[in-house]
Amino acid sequence: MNAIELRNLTKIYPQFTVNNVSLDVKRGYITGLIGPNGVGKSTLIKMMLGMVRPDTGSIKILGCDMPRQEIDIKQRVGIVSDDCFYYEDVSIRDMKRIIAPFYKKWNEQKFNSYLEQFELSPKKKIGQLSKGMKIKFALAVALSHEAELLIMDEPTSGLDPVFRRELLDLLAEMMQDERNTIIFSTHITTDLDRIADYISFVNRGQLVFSEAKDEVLDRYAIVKGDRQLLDSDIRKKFTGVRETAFGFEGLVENRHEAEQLFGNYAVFEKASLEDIIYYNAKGGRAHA
Amino acid sequence: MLNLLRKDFIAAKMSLGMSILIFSIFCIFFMKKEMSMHLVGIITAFATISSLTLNDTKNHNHLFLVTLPVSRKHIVQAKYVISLLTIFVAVLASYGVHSFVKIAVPGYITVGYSMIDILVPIAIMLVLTSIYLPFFYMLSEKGAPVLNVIFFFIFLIMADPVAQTIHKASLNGINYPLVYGTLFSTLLLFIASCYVTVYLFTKKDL
Repeated sequence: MNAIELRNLTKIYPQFTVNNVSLDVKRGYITGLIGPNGVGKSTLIKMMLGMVRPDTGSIKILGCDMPRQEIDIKQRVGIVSDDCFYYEDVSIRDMKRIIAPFYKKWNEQKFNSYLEQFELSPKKKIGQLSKGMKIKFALAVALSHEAELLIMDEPTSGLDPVFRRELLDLLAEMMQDERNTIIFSTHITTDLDRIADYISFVNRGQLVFSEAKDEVLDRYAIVKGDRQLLDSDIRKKFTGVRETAFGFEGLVENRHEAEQLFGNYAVFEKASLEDIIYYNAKGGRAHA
Repeated sequence: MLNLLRKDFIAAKMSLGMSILIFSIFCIFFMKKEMSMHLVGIITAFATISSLTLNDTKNHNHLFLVTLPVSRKHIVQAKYVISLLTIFVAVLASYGVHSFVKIAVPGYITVGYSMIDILVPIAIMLVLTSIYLPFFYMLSEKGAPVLNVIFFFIFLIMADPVAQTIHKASLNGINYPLVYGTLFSTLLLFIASCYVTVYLFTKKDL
C-alpha cells in the first residue's frame, strides 16, 4: 500500500516547471527524495501539503484526497522543514499551546520528554532558537501527535553531526511501527545512505527514478579509464562523464552492460547517491 | 475555529498591550473633542486588526498555519470573526470610557451619546475591514506592511472630514431608516468580503 500517490502533477512557473510527476511512496518505509537544489523537491512537498496547488494532476495521502480531505490528512501527518515558520515572538510553551489543541492525538507526556531529550527550554522564545533547535522543536511537535507519515523537507541541513545521528536514530525508532512512513527530502545523501529504503530522484522538475535504494546502487556504477576508450557512441552510454588530462570518470546507469562493453580495460566502482545526483545534474560531459 | 481564535490571542499578547496603550493615549488626548468617542474606537479597532494580521505574516506564518489540521477557509473565517470581535470591543470600550468620564466628571464631555454613536463607528470599521482583509490575504508577506501604511494615511486624511460629516448629520436630525439600512448593507459587504477572501486565499500558492 502507498502512503503517498502523486499522479501526473504539473505546476508551471514562469522560469521553472514541475512536469508530469507521478510518484508512489510506500507505506512502512523511508523514502529519500533527492536532487540538486531548485529542481522541484520542495515544490513537490509543498503540493503534498496543500501549500501549492498543482495546475494538473492528483494527490492522495494516506488514502485521502488532497485538498478535499486535507484536515483528515494533516491530523495524521507530521512536518519537519528547514524553514520553520513558527511565531517568533512566542515561547516554546506558548507555541505548544497554539499547536496542541489542533491535534486529536496530542501526547503531552511525549512532547515534554522530547523537549527534555533535545534540551529545549519551554521558556525560550522561538526567535531565540538556532536553526537546529527549531528543527528539533518541529520534530518534537511532529512526533507528539502520533503522525503516521512524516514529511521532512531538508531537515538535516542546519544540524550538527551529533544531532543528525540522533535524528536518524529517532526516525529508525519511529519506523519500528510498520504503519509509519517517512519521506525525507535532502541533498545531503549520506543521511539517506544510512536510513532510506527507497530513493526518488528528481531533476529539472521531472522524476528520474523511484526505486529501492539497494537496486539503484547496484544498477548504477562509476567507470574510470583511459580517455582513448571514449568515442561518441560510448559517451552516449554514460549519464555523465568527467574528463581530465589523465583519463575519464563517468556514471553509467547499467553496470552489467558497461562491464560487457569495457571488460578489463576500465575500473568499476559502486556509485554513491551523491555521484548519481552529480552526474545527472551535470548531464552530458563535464570537464574537470 | 476556536483554536484559531485562541492562536490569535496567544500570538498577539504583546500587540494587544500596544492596542491598550493606543486606546489610552487617544482617550487622553481626544477626550474633549466632539468626535473623540468615534475616533478612539475606530483607531483602536484598526490598529488591533492590523497587528493581528501582521502577526501572521511577520515570519511567513501562513506557511505554518496551513500545515495545521485546518482548512484555509477556516483560517480566513477566524480572522473575520476576530476582526468583528475587535471592532465591537474597541467601539464599546470607547463608548464605555467616554460615558463613564461624562458621568464621573460632569461638564468635561459636552456631547451626548446615543445608539447611533455606537453604530456609525462599527459601520465604518466593517467597511474598512471588508476592503483591508481581501487585500491582506492577496498580498500577504510582501504587501501587508505597505497596505497598513496606506490605510494609516487614509485614516489621517479622512478621520476629520468623516467625523465632521457625522457630526453635521446628527445635528440635522438622524434618519434612522437610512442608518439601519447602511449598517445592514455594511454587514452584507463584510460577509461578501469574507467569501471573496476565502476564494482568494484558497487559490493562492504559499
